[in-house]
Amino acid sequence: MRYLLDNDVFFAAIYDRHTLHVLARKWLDAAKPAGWGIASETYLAAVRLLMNPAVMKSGQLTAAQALHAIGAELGGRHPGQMVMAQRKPDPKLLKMATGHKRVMDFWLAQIAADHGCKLATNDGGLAVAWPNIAEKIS
Amino acid sequence: MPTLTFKAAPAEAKAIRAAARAKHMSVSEYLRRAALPRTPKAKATQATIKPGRVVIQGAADAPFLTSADVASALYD
Repeated sequence: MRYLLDNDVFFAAIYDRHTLHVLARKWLDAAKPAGWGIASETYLAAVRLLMNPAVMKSGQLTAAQALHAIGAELGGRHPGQMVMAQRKPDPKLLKMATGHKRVMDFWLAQIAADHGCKLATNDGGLAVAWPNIAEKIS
Repeated sequence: MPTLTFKAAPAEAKAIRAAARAKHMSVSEYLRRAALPRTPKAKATQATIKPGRVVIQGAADAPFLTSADVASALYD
């Protein structure tokens, strides 16, 4: 597996009202043959977003619909792996988080590093800070 | 329209009235919603769902989302 997608990249790839949808969809389609996956946290984040009425408005999905859609994305010719953390959060890494919204990014970066792959992100800052762990999609 | 009546202890009646007031509802409306909660209707999802490639089309009233919006929806 070469890439672990962060929450934003995965959601952007499957939802056309994300401003980076076209980029993320194109990137993911091209990246899949190299091996890809999402953490269980990202899977659940996508379910939450697709069921969230503030995000989806009248297009809000039921749990069954959201799970079906995500399951389909993970299938196909180049199936995505569902990745689970192998160890506890590393305090050395997480204490560098500069705000509450960064905690999940850092956690996913740890999971990606533990699995020997790169975290695919839209976050240029993360990719610059940790070029060996994170890669900005383009 | 049929009328339903039921017995309640004074304390229960007081609590029900207070709860209805707090939600700006009549007691009837409050009890109807409590007894018959609305569940989201399963809509025909506007989506292209193929194994390995899914694109969910946002509803007409759904906002466009930036990465910051996604982070806020998840973490705020």
